[in-house]
Amino acid sequence: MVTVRLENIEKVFEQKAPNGEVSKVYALKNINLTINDGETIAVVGPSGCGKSTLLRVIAGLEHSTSGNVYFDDKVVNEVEPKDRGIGIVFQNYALYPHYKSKGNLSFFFKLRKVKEEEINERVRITAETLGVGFEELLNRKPGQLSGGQQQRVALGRCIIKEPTIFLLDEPLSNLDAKLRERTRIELKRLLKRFKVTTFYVTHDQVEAVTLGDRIAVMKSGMIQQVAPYNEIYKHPANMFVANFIGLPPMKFMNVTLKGQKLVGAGFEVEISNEVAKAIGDESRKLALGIRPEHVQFKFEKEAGYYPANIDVIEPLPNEGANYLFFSFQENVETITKADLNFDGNVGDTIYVHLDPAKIYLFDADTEEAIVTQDKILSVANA
Amino acid sequence: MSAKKRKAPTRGKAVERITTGQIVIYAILTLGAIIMSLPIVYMISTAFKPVTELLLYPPRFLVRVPTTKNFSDLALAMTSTDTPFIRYIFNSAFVSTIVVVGTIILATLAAYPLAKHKFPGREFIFNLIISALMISGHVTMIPRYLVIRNTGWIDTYYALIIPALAGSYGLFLMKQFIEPIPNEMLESAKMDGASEWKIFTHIILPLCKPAWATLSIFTFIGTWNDFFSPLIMTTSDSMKTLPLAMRTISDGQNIARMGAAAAGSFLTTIPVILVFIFFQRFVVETMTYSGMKG
Amino acid sequence: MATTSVTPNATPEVQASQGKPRSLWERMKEYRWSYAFIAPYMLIFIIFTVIPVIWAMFLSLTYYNMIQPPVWVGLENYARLFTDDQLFYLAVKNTFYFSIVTGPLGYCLSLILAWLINEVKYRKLYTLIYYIPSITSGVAMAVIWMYLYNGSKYGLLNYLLLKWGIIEEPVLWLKNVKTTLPAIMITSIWMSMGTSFLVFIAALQGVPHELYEAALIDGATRWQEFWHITLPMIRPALLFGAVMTVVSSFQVFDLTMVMAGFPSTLYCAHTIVGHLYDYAFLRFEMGYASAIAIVLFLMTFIISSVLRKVLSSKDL
Repeated sequence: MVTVRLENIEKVFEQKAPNGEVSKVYALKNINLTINDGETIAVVGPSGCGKSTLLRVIAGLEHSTSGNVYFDDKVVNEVEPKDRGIGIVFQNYALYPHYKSKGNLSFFFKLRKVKEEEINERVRITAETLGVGFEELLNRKPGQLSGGQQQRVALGRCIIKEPTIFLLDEPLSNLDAKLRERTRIELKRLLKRFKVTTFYVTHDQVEAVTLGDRIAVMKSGMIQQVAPYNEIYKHPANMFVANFIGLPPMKFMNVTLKGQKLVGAGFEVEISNEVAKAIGDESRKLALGIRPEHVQFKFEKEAGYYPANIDVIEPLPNEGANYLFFSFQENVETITKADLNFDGNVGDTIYVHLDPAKIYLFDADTEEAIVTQDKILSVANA
Repeated sequence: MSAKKRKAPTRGKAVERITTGQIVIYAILTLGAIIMSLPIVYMISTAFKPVTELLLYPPRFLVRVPTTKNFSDLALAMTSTDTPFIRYIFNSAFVSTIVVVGTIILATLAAYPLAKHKFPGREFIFNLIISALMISGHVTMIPRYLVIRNTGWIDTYYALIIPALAGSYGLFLMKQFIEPIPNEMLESAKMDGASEWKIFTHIILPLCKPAWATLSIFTFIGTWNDFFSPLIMTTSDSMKTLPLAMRTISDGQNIARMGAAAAGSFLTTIPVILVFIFFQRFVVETMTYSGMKG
Repeated sequence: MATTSVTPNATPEVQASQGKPRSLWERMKEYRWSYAFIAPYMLIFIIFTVIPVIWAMFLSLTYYNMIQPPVWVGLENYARLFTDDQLFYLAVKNTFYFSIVTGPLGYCLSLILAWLINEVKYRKLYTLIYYIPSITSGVAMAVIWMYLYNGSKYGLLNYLLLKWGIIEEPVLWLKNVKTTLPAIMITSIWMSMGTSFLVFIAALQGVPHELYEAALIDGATRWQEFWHITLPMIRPALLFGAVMTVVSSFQVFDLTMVMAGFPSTLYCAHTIVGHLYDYAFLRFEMGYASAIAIVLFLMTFIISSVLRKVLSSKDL
């Protein structure tokens, strides 16, 4: 239907310090992003990273300081929100509390003086789309609805006007865990069915994985990386993305290059020539990370295995694993997965091997990725 | 909280640039504001006018050569009654201050159990106080007067202070303010072994401070400006408060005394305005709690 | 005694969960702190509000001149009030006239201004300027208005109107039967951006902005937004403001007393409270005055109730 293209979007606030100095604060910085026709982009990031602001810029509820928003080839910067053909679901739903659900759904058409029969027909179709039990909600006011029901009504209000773009601002974050899971799947089904260009803001990466065709990770007003989940998980662009995507989050240990080895406090990793070359300088400060599932450990000492202490054991039966939090000499915790019948205890020593083909290496100063698993992302200038 | 989070009015935020619509709004508001402040400006200006300017024809709105003579005349204007004008100022200030302090103490004390304890009779007492909000003061004025007369308090400060202490509005405001304080906070204090009195002094009182500001302003303004109670409760000149004194000075036809009258108005209104400006930031915040659940 | 002294502050909920049915007296004993807290307030409240209300009702059925003890006369005071007191009718007429003009006008003005102020920056400054007249002493400002309304050519209003040729000779604004009440109304409206105004502003700020955004995306015009979103959302405030306005406009007295004098020319600014004051504190006919007070109370009560009904009806 519509391709949304964001071109150099920036939003700047001027902030006055107590001493009178005016500094610029970027809510959005250098945002370039294309949401293809029918695609769902899930934007994740910590709170305050600018993801909701970006959504509001697309909606036209806020204006960017500079840059353009394109719907297909048309610049829509000056187009009124109501004329952008968008449907939006707010985090707190923003249902009109004084109207019944039906009134909320039909408000758009009432304003346009659409005939009663046509409105009823549209409400009926929407109720059908949203499935079982929706009919019953229509004659109740938002105050009489549960959180999940309110969420469905908000979704109904969004789709009833057949928008060409969906903007969803953390629509599931006010639901309890179980309901959230169910609604997530329902939402997925809806998005697949409508094939509408969707901008989905969330702080929950599971939602992002389920719903997003691609994921955009944001931090401090900037997009860090845009890619499908597998790509981001496997090859994060920097430490922030590596840490933010993946559960449990990746931890980092300080290492330095010594010849063909990475040396950390209490462990070493042999690396290939190419990797060593990519790192280049031995004085470079490096951060090494590894996903829990790639950590190998044994109870007996062996070559290439280094002693570590188990600090915490967290059993997670529905993942079918125990997470072991362990540390080498330094108190930097790392995490590994062990199967459920792991019988070690806190305080035990295990011997850990870090597979050179699975490690992530970052420049500790710039936080940019150098090596992610088997892929070399940047090579030091010789 | 939500009000704080909002940086700008929604429409303004969506548009951010000044539109024609907004210019019209500013124009209307500014024009209205000028009209609204004219009488006050006129009062201030007249209070500093010398007699020559008061008797000038055509009359002028603003003062040209300001003088403070009106204020000294004001003292003289009252000498026939042997009561210096300063006495009225003192009466007003004294009565208002005591009523403010007393109201805060009594209203906070009473509001705490009404908001947080489920004692027998609570509903009844609260409904009683709420219905009193609906009753105009004039209904109770006559019996009040009779009560005061029987206690022999007519023409004393007691008559002006004591009945004013149990206003419904103050209690209502405080109760609305205390209600949202989480019960868990009070319960955890109880677990720590705090007595009801300790809970009141160490938790409720400090948390109520923003509401005090609002309560103080409204009580102060109400008492300071009150005309009817002092009108019937006082008989001698030395017990009069400012509004009553102003009535004595007022003589709309005598232009020559206009300066003294304006000076009196100045002294009567300016303290209230200053107090309000000083506390204004608290008021709109707490207003949200008053009478809104309704 | 023994049980309560062990845990003097045990929460009643905890005790209740122990399942023993307790007598009212026991529960009251448990809550003795609550009663102690509320006692000072209630003492004054009962003496100066509750008892007076009952007493006023009683007095209204008596003849009482404060020298002899009250004499029971039944409904005679009311009968006299409604059948025999022309001045009371005049007072009612004036009060209604005054309320019907200043009440709705002040109310709408407060609402519109609050709405406009909510749309702009410098909200605090505008609020302050509009609000200040309402917190000034009515009597003190009446004095200033009296000079504006001064009946000679020195009066600013007369001077301007003469200069512009609207009137030919100075008008005695506060002595003329036709102009007195309207002149006082203008002063009253000037002072009317009071508590309701502040409550409106607070309520407007409390409307979640997402609602406006949702309406914006639905394509509501500014007027539709005001009508469909703003007004329903601030309905409690609207109700509160309406009741406040009625109650206060029915009590008009100090402005009329000071500006028009007491009694005013041909009683042209005679109000119900003025009538009450006259009988109670000048003639000391306390029984009759109480009847006036009760009638005044019933009038405000009925009108407030009607407003409450209208404004809280579900399908506004």
